[in-house]
Amino acid sequence: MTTTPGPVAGQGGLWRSALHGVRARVALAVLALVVLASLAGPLVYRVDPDTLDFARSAAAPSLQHPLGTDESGRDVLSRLLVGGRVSLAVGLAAMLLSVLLGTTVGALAGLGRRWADALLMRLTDATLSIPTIFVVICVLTFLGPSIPTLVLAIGATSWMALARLVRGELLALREQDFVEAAASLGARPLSILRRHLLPHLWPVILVNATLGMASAILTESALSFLGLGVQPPAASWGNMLSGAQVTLFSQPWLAVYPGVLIMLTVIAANLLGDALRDALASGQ
Amino acid sequence: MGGFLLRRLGHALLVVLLVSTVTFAVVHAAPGGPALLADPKLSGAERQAIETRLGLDQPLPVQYGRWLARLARGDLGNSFLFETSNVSAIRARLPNTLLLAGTALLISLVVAIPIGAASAARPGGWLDRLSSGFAFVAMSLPAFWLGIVLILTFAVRWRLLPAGGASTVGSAGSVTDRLLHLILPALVLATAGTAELLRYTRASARGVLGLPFVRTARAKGVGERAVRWRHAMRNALIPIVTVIGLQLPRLVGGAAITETVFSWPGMGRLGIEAALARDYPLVMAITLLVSIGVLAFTLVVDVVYFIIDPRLQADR
Amino acid sequence: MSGIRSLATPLARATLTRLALLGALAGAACGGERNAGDAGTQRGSQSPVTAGGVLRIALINDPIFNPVIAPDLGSVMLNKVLFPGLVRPDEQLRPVPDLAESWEASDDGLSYTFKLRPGVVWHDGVPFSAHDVKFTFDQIIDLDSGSRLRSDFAAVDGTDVLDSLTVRFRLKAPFAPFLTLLGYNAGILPAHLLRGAPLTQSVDFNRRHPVGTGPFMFEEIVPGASVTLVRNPRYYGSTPLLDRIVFKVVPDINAQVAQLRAGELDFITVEPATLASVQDVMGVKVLQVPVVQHYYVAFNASRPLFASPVVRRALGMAVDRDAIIKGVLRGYADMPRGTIPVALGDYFDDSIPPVPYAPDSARVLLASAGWTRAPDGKLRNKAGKPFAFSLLVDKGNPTREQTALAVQQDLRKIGIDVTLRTMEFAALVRDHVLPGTFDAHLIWWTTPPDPDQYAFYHTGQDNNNVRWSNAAADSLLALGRRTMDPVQRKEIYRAFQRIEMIDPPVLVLFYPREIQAVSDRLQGLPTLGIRDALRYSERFAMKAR
Repeated sequence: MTTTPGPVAGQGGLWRSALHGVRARVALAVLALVVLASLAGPLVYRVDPDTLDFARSAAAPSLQHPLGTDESGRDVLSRLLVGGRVSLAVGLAAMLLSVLLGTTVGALAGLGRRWADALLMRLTDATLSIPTIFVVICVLTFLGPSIPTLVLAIGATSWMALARLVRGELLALREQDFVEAAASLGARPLSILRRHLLPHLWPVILVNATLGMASAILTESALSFLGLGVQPPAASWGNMLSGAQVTLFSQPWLAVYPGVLIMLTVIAANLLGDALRDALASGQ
Repeated sequence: MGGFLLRRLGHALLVVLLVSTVTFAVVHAAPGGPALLADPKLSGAERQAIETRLGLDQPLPVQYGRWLARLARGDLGNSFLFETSNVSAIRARLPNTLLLAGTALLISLVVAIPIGAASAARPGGWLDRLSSGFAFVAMSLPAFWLGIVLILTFAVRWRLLPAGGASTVGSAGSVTDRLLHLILPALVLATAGTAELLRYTRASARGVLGLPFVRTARAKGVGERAVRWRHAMRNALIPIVTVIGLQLPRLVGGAAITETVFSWPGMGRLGIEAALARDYPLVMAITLLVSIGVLAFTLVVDVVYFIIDPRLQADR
Repeated sequence: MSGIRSLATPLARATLTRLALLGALAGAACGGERNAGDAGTQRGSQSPVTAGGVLRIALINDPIFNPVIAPDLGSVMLNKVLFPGLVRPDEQLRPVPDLAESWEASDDGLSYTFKLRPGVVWHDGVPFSAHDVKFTFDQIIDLDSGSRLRSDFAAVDGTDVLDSLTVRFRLKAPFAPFLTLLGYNAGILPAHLLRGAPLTQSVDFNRRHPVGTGPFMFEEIVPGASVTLVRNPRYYGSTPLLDRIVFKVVPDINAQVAQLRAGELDFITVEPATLASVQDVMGVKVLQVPVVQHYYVAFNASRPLFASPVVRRALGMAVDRDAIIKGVLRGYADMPRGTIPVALGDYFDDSIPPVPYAPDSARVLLASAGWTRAPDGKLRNKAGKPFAFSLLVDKGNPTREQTALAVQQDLRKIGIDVTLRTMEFAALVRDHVLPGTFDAHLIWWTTPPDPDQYAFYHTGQDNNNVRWSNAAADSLLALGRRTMDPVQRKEIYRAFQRIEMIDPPVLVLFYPREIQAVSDRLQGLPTLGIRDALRYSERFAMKAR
């Protein structure tokens, strides 16, 4: 997976070549649309997502409720928009945490001393070898599932792949002339990392981040199924989907909306990550 | 070889110790103890009696020491929830999970490797498009949701397959019955893994197909089939096996969700039940067991690597 | 909150939900009097009952076959079938003979002598005797045995075997609910198999080879999947009709519904939210049973905000219970009065009018207590402090979550600022309810089928988490548990309910009913919550298809 290093075209170049394909453009458009709808939607469509109206429980779409209401009579469209914010925020924040952890561990291992490398890599192996879901459940049952704890739990259990990649890249880069040259010129390690190595790591991090966000959104929905996702009455796509299970026989469409949104977002993120990876592989 | 193996074993042991320490720390960070104690009808004295019986009145370092000491003797401790040894609780469920996860893995391999390789041979062809389309959808489906939809369709609406369980009560032992129960959960569990493996196989095969020795083989007039399967795939398979090793813990995690949806009496569901009931000893036992299994698998893969490719002497 | 015992093993979200409600509902059970439920009456089809067949009931977890140490719902259900008690409740909630043939109480109420049924044998063929009864109750009251029934029998001082079929209970004080509790969870254990080792360590018995005296005997367990019971040919009562009862472990409620609809289960209980998925399904009928349970909002009376009875009464008038019952519970609940639910029959005083939904009157009452509406619409006191508090509710249960939301909305309408906080049930109980660190929480009590609420609402009692104190209520509650005469008891508890209307200990929201979704082939099911219905499993039958 280590790519041949050399002068880097920079992120701009990577983006440009990644977005060359139609699939990637569509993916980016879908993501942009979803983000925009979640951010701006609730400002435009101002129906309160939490108002209960049992008289209008699980109603079919109407002018008043364009996508109908859920079993508590809450407006589905406004919950989807607000829930999108939550799901995307959880996905984004968990991804950031995971990238931060992965890059840090990878960098410390790749640039640090042998014992630090050994210890960190064994820690990575250890985390990779356990079914993290059980530990996540334990953590969430005592911290209580909330957006910050979910981000913590998902982020802290998904950094390992990136750590390995970053370490691998750094090990390869360390031997390169330009790094040695910088070192011999008296550059400090941190500045070498920032000025010379980080530009090479960006592509790997970017690809990993895109895919990581997709998987974080899926993980939140799986945790919702176990009752440990974002907690109602707050809406998230995950808890809307899992909440719709009980009405699956009577109002199947309630499960379709959040399901489709999760799928679209995750597919788009994966496609984008894929395009970035391809661009990375062919461009360098 | 001996040194390599020893070093690898040392690594694995260190990893096991790390796993046990980290899980113990994380799991025990929870204040208050198991859900067993959250019964408001218990008086203070009764609460005390339960804590003493379960050893929860001891300070954490003492509990950890005891646990490690028992672990060293191969004793995985006792479950709070079942009041039996963790080993016997797991043993009752493990075969079902092995069956389910094994079948799912088999489906993944049988589907992903040939299709992934064929897709790599003709990038952009219809098979490649179809399979990558499938992979993207399969990777993006919440597994529990897929499971429920399949149950509704095949069990409730069409009544073709059972809705849950590992066998019909009373007909245990009938192979047909067990197979029928296995189909839906195995498919659900296999979905995400197949997608991942498919993509990985394709990428790996494409990489190998571009390598000089493959080009050489082609140039020497070796038939295209032989080039693809004998030369290229053999080399592409090695990293694939590693990926499978990495998928194993997720297979168990995924099995936990799938087993819950399909009421499958497996170890994954046991782990979720234990975690939700704060049955720490059982959670740790399951986690550790899976971890050891994965490490053993990785160790075997490493050794095989070593044998196949002596260039890999260096431990990176 | 004896139903909370069943929450000792909370599972997945749906499961947790289910545990909570089913546990709570079933735990209470044994109501049905108002629905003219005769414990023996068959519901549904009137066609003649046929023998044979298999009944498949959903369980949510692997059971422990031991009624003394098993607190979870799955175990309790199975143990009701495997391990009969000395008595069982009839349709009037009166204890009727089961393993005991007759009994006599001393005039001072301090001693009960039971004549046991002769000729009863354990499933392994060993004769049942008074020694088994003594053994069981020695374990129940022993702190170190792991007994979870200790609080039920705190009044028992000890038991004496008079002869092999006669046993005497010595009580520390007169205790009116004693007989009711004997028929509740106290199944009798075989001394010959369990003596000598701590109950919790008899793993082979508790997990794999239980031996009881009930109408069905243990046949097979597949861990995590099912427990099969088979007809006991030597059962002392009427011959069991079914060949087998299979308890299938299906932790997820949606999976249970799917299996019921696919014809793989014959009995499940559902939440109102799930109701729609079992209605109008071919081959499935939906039954409802009132249960001995009250759902309520607990206000911490030790906090100044809630100290005044006037404020608590006003809050009660500001909540639209009728809307909650119709909306959240889909009508599957009864309008409450005090804390004694309608399922307790005569003890429930239906001559008391329900608290009306009267937000305007609530405002007037609150104004008289110093809370007036400020220009911003919020209720504030003279110091300008707003009427604000946080309401805690356990997560994962749609019924309670939605009810809490409805309460929040209703109180907001009169200017009260309610912050909702959801948390795991165990955390709610352990970190807030028990230590008393809460403003308000939404929870429920499930009580044995007896009006005795001494432990919950008497000043200073362990389970009086709301710190309610009312001298008149105290003396009535104390008198009620000492009084053996049912007519006098009725008057005592009716007086108690009238006090509750003026000085509400809690804001009672509703009395729920257990919703049972069952195969229409099932016959002989008494109008009882499933746990108590299982005391009559020998009468169940499955009509041939």
